[in-house]
Amino acid sequence: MISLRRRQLLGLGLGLATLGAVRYAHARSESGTASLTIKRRWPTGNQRLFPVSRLDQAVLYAGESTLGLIDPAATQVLWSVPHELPEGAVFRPRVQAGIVVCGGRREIAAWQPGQNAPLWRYPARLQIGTPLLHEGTVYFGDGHELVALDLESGAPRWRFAAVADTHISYAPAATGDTVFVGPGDGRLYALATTDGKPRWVVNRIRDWQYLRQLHLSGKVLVAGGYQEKLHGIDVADGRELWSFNAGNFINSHHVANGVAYLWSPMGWLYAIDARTGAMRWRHRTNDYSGGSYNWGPLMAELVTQDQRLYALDLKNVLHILDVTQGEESARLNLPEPVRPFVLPLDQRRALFGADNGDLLLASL
Amino acid sequence: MKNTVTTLRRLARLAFIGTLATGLTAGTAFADKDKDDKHGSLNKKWVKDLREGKIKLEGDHAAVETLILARNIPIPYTYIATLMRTPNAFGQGPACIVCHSSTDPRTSYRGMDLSTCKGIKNGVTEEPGYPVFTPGQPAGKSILGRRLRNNRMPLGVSFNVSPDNAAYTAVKEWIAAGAKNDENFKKHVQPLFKKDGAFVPDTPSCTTCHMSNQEPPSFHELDLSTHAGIMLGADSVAKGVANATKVVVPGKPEQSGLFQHLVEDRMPPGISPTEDRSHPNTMILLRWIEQGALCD
Repeated sequence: MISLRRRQLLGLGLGLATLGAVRYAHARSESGTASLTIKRRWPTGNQRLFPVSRLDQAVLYAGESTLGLIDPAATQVLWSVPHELPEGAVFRPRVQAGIVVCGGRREIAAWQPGQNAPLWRYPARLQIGTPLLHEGTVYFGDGHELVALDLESGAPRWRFAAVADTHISYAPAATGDTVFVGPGDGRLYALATTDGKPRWVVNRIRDWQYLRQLHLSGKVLVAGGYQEKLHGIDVADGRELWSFNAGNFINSHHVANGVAYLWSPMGWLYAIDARTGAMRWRHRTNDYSGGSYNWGPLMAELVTQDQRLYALDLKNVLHILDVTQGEESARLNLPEPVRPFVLPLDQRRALFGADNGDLLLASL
Repeated sequence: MKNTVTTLRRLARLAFIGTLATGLTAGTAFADKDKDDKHGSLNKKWVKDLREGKIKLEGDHAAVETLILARNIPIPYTYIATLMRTPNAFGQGPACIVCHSSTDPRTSYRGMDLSTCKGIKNGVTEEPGYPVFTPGQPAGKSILGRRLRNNRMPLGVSFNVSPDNAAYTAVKEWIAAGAKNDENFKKHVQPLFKKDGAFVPDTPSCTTCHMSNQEPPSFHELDLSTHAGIMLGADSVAKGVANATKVVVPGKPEQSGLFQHLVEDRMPPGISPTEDRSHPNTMILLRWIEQGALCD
């Protein structure tokens, strides 16, 4: 009898210990968010920053007032110029061949870093869309027209008119001598980079309403449609190769190394094979139960680097996942609110934009 | 148990393949005979499309989309009646008729009777009564369509949050008064969209996700941070100003998507936002409405 009680007590003790360990492990996984440390900050003269771009080892930034350049290894801003864009910049500054293009809805302009005077300015006829720089030309929408300007001089090369009263808002994509654009008219246009003449046009407004954020993966154009699907499209003729139903809107997908990454408000982060449309993995981000398990919504474009996927949520938490399996390896809390973008510099450092317009260098 | 399930799955798969093969064999013969018959049977058209490579099966709902919706075959009321009586028919939750079983508002929420065709078409009978859809009209944005597909905002809000607190009332009254860019809007309404927990405790502000049209794009290209952005509406960046989805109809809060998204719970009550908004049965129900909501 006594022996039995001892066994029972021993079992109870072991059970409690196991339960405690399980609960401890669970608590760690639930609240296992480490904090990022801000190592450096640069006031930029802006109150609102937009996503940044790499220029070799330096980083370009733009906000409502200035365009500038920082070196993550230096404390001082390398270059800063009032861009004087009406209503400010709203696009990520883009760079090619040492020329930076920065723009907003009313005007777009180009600079050589270090120079205060712009190389050229282009005022909008209607409304400027997100630009693309490709082989010495800058392409962007102005209302329903796609405009091609010489990157260095700003001289017009050609204009292509889509359907009036819609906008070319999202950036075109280009490969070789073809540029692709998906305006709000529901069509997908493949235009010759030389003269803007259509190579092919497909109208699938009923399927996708319009296409957003075109990305290229080899010979596949990966585009998010308004109608909750990601589409894989043959660049040769516009034929649909596959589509993937995300179940809700697709905002900022990312394509790299043959994989399309996207977040759906349905509560999943997906990795989709860009060639076949097959799902490689998915990671549960939300069950909307209100627990700490739930991620904030993802607005920032996903970023991949060194086999890692970086996802910054709107709760100011940076999630780092393994690109091959989708397992979350780190969950890092920002010490202050940040804008929806992240630029990993290497495996130990990343840049963020503070809500007050400062650039932040954080140690991961 | 696992083996039993596996066996059943295999049998079901074999049965499906057998049925499909039979259909295809029979259909092939018919297809040869009536190659150009535009008014041929569904099966003939199906086989013809298969042969011509027109059939594209996408995703989990390929069968419903391809076999039913794409061909617009008539949806019988008997199927709709079954849906109303079936738990989990539109996503996890009780059957519709558990809560909406008669026109008596004392025993059936809103006096809505979803147990009969007439009751479904009559909609809400509790004062002020109103139908929840218009037969023969696009159903996606009808009250019934919204209730089955639209998640209440902020995403994840529980259905037990009262839709008539002071914040909701302020928005409703502002829209009802014409949605003007006046002192009332600036002092009492606009701050609500920018404040965490303004409508529901422990939820992010509306402008966390809907704050501008820039890069990266705000969700649904919606800017709730300014009066101009609110009145411009959703998806204006690409669709253009004239074609943007207006979220505020001045004077009509119940018709304004902004207010609808704040107060309307997705059904069945308690359903998770992770549940499929385009559930096959939801799409069939909406198609039945668009076909005229016939009771025969």
